[in-house]
Amino acid sequence: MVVTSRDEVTGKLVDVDHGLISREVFVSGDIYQQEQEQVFARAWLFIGHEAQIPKPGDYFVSSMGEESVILCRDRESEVHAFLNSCMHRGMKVCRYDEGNTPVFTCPYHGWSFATDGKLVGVPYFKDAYHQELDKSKWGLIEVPQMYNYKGGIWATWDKSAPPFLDYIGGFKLYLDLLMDSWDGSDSGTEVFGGVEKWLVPSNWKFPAENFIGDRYHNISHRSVDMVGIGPSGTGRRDTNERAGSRLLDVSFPERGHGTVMALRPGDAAIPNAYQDLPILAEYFRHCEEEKKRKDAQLWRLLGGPGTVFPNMSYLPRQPRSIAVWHPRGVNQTEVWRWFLVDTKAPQEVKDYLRHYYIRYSGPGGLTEQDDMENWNYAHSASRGVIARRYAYNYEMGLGYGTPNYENDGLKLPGLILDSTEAKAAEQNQRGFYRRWAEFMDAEDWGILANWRNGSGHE
Amino acid sequence: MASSDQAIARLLLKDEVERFLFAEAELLDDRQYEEWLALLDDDIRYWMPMRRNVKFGELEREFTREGQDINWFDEGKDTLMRR
Ligand code: FES
Ligand SMILES: [Fe+2]
Repeated sequence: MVVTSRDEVTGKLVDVDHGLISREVFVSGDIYQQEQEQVFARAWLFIGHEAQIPKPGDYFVSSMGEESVILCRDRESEVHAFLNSCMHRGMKVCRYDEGNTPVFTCPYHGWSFATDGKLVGVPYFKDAYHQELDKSKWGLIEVPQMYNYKGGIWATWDKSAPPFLDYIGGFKLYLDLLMDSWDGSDSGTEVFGGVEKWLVPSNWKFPAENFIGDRYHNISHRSVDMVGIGPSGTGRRDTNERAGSRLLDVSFPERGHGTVMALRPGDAAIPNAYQDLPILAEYFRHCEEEKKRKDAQLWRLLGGPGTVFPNMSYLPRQPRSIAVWHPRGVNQTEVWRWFLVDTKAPQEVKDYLRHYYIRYSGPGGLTEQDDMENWNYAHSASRGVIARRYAYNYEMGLGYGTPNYENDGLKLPGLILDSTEAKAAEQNQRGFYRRWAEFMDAEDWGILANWRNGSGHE
Repeated sequence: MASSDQAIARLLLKDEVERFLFAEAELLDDRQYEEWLALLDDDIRYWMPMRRNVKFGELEREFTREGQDINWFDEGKDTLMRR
């Protein structure tokens, strides 16, 4: 399956108007290869958190698409992201996961690069190169654009990509539910030490579309809901905090981002939630009161799972974390998961949440292991020559969203589908794949920045 | 003489530990989870750190820290029972 010309993907492999998406999108090696170029080399990608590299010389080896990158802080405390590949013969200049160093010395022939990327050491510079090598031209390749958004570090390889805030657009309101403190103050979150990393035998888009809003798969988490691991001792989450809320599916089809969240009624009172521990319940109540006092309308928003196109997904509350779905071949995804917490939360609350995060998430987590099973076998059962003849169905709730959503005096941005009674919809997935198809077809950001001419409907 | 008594005692202990592990595996193979749980002390702690690839000389970063960082598992009997 080779895709060659423009408009080959939109409408043919991805027909969101009819809710049909070809399995080739998930299992074709050619499409995967094109995706590296068209999607991962152009989009903004999440690469880490500033709390991971607090001091000069600190580094964390991250990944953008398939490629290894070094996120580091130089001697002047400037943050950089470099391609982790030596300019001489391509060796990984840094083979570690993290650490602190004055220079990165290539293990192959020993070129060394400072933490600002400059080539500072070349063995036999006098004898073998006769001092003729122009070191200023052979520093590490640096990402052309990087942005620190409330501690989260994002980067893109495309210098013509719009600035990060323009890329996020109106979705910022929802992303802030992850990045701001629970009491509503701007930023103020940190990450726990330790990034979970593990491999899943499925295409990266399975998890990305699951997190963008798959309320439909609740059934697969029934066992963990029954035993109860949530912060009030029941369910996999504590649903008391959203009692009486409308459930909203929010999509930005012109950008590809989406989330499923809850909206409390205009006259809602602060609920009793997070009851497992008195200090936790108290911290929750304190944050809710503060947030409500700051802005009673915005207090009504309760964030849920979301995906920032293409491969950063998050859970803003239970358990609060960021996942990146790194493509590792068409049939494999490397998952990285960071866990966030309010910097100013009391130590006991941090400890409680850390334990909750661990029992929920990761390959050993009671909830996340259910998802692995689904993505693994959905992918492998879609690879065969017979299976790939048949498109997947994404019809659920087609056409039921509105771009002018309003509830009790609160207007919300995005294409919004109220799924309270319907219980589930696939609007957000359609938005994601509409955008994915545009990336696959479009030649440049001039076409991709289509929101500038008012696109944004399903 | 004393040292050979100690050696025998060690061997017997090793044999006891082995037999306990086999019995445990047997219970799990037979899906006798209640019986298996009953073997565990109430204050059991099941902890598995995450491992990082780090530079020689920075070995303190090799494993995520107990009671502070994210770990693959950090559970007591209560969570093990729910599993
Ligand atoms: S590959 Fe790095 S010095 Fe040769
Ligand atoms: Fe899930």
